[in-house]
Amino acid sequence: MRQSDSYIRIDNVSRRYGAVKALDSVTLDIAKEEFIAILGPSGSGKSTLLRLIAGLDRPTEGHISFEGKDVTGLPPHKRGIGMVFQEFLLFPHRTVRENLAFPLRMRREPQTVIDERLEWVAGVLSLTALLDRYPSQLSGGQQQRVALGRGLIARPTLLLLDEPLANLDRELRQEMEVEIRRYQKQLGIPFIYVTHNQEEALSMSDRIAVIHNGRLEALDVRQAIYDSPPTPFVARFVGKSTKFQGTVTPDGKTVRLARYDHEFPLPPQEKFQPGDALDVFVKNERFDLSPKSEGGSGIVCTVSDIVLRGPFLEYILETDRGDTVIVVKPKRNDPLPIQERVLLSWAPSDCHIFKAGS
Amino acid sequence: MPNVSLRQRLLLYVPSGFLLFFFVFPLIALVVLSFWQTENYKIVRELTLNNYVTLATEGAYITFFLRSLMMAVGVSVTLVVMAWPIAYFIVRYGGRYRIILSLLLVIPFLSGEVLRLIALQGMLGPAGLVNGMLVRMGAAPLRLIMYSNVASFIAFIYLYLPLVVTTVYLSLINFDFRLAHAANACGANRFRVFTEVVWPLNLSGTLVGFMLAFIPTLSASLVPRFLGGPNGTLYGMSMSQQFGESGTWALGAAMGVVLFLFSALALAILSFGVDLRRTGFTGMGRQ
Amino acid sequence: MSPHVSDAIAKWLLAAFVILVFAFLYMPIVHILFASLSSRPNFPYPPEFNFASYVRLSNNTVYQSAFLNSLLLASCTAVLSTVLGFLATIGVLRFGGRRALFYAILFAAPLFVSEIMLGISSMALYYLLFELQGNMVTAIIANAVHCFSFCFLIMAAMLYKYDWRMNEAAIVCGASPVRSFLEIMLPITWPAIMGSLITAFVLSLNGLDISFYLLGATPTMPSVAWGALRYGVKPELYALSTLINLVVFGLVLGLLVSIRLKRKDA
Repeated sequence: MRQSDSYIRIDNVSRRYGAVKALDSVTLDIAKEEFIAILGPSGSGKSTLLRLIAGLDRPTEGHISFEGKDVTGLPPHKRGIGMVFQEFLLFPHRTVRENLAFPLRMRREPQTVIDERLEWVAGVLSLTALLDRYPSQLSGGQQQRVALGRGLIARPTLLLLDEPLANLDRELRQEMEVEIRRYQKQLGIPFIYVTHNQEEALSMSDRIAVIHNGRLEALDVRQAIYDSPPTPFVARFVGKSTKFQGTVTPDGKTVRLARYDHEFPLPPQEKFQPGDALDVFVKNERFDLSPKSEGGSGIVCTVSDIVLRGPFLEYILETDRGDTVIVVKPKRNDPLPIQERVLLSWAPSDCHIFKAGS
Repeated sequence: MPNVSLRQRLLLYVPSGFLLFFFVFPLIALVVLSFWQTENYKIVRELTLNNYVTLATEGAYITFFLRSLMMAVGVSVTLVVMAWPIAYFIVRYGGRYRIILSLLLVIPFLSGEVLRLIALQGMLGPAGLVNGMLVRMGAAPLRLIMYSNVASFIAFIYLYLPLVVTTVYLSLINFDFRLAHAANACGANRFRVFTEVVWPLNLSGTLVGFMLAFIPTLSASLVPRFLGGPNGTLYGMSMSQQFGESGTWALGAAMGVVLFLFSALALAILSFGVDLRRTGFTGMGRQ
Repeated sequence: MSPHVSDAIAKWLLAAFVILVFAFLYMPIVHILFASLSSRPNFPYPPEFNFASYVRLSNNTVYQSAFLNSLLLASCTAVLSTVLGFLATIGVLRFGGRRALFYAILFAAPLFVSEIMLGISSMALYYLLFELQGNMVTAIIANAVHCFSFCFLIMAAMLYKYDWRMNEAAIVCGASPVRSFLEIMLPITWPAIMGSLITAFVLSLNGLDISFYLLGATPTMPSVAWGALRYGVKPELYALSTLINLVVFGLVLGLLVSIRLKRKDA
């Protein structure tokens, strides 16, 4: 991304707590009108990054700028941001109306502006009927919408979302994912969305930044993160995949698995030396599965169980070495029967290969 | 946040400093004073053990002390035994009246010792309600409840009952009674549920209640002076007399040190005798 | 016997005991209420409504100055100990970290030293250091030490569940830290602060032991009452005691109602 596109710039930012490095030299440029997800396991430093952007915490090193203006030393209430929290954090002693109007009152907006914006936000988020209720009288989904409204009402420079859907049930969550993405496109301000849930990150964002152990592990458009993970961690963390160990054969053209009698051609773009030990990741939905009776090559497994997941089938396979492999396939009317002996394989272009231990 | 450590310092160090200056230093001053002497209402600043020797050898002081100790143990044990059923009832069956019932306990506590003793004397004294009734009915007044150790005992119960019940109540209200149901489902009868689950998990709260009655009873001076009668002198009362009528401050200070050490000893015995983890203590972390 | 029946019996036995104990706690208070309103204070039954002892109390100049002194002492103590207790509560709950337990024990420690010990030890300190006899300031400070622990425990118990990120939520909405404290934290924690103020006020209003050693000749209500006791209980004392009980009752009732109203709101 070119410097001129950068609306929010996080420049080489680190945050240390004593000897612990919660965040280590992270650089990130965010364009206006971009929905970026910050994805990482708990304790990865993703929440620290969000707090640094919000100004709730100060970086030990590095700078943060909004629209070219350095805000590193600016307290949160002067940054003009909006934020939505996982626990919603609605003010319990204020009505929905007062909660929504709070950011505008803090910015000393005149009453006419407050009324106008309230009407707008209540309309967009369908809160009109709830304006005089107290937060404790709302359902989880309604509280979520109020929290979102409070984040958006003052037309912030950017909206920070800290796992806002984690406390909602699954159905509501999927509904809100679509909604939130729609608001972002409508408003044209950057949304920075922190989550540990890769499905959420993939379904909503334009780009995904994967954080691991305080470092920026990967940053790319969501399709690239999913289809060609740049590091083993990303391969493991994004999407559900299975890891195999293998080595490059002496001719340098084939990968031979360590624990199984199976080999497949090394894709030509991969540069490895003969004898290199490799970690091979295959996404669970990219496996090929065929009955052993039909012949061919692959890892010999037994179907030990089948789990029905809506339009998909999950085959629970057991290899002859006692490992479990899960394979996801579209639902068919004639699934492979349980106890069937099958061959497990994959197209060389469908796996992600890394040097072992990297 | 602008400088978390500065705020931290302000928030924790200001109250700590306050306690250091006005709570810890006075106790140190008391210890220093106890090693000096008072002669003719003047303090002589020379180190001596005389005060402690006096306390350890003079029969009267030993009697006062033993009487205080027995009184404190008796009062605290009685209070814990009384407090449990009350607190248990309020927590289990109080329903929406819980807050009102618990506040009704607090109100008498807040009216202060002197006024409460006046009220109690209105009941127990020679011209009080109980004896007034007895006399009216033609019976002799009950001597036992006038100016005796029994009268003191009743007064201590009356004074500290709200405090102990409230402490046990606070412990029980934070206790998850589903654990008792779980034990019940595991086959424990009511008695076993109590001894194996409910009591141990509320032991630390109960001990705090015990100490909150034990300590003021051990050093009480108002109650015995007002209700104790000729054979009711307690250690704390004798101590306050050293600071008042007799003007022997240094000896009084030594008595204060003795009382403080015994309170601390009782606290230490109780808290070391209890394995906090086996009382379900999980530290300050939020659940 | 079926468990249902034995449960009911246990419940009613407990209820009977609780009623008995509440009667024990309140009978003296009610008795002196009647005594203060009667011309025959020793056996005021059937009750009368004679306010003579209240009139005598209000005309007694000793009680008047004692009342003003006690009011000053209790107000200052309540504010001082609540402010310190509030700092301590936030400090322990929010910034205590691994030392939270240590600080909590330190802040609760004065509870485990009796009031009379606090009184004489403070007197000893001021005497040793300054040869000072004690005055209103020293009495307020010593009372505040005692009340501080109560304030700390009351507020810590009620603020334990307060979500500190509520302040952050207000700040990212554009509120300055002061504004977020005034608009968000203070209203939410108000019942805890009121409870602490009332408790400290009433405790120091009625406490004798601490003030007795630190106030010298300045009369306060408990010390005047104590002095009067030596010459036998007089109906004025019953009147005073009843008034104080009514004030305490009113304050606690007010607190209860305000908590209830707040809950109805939310």
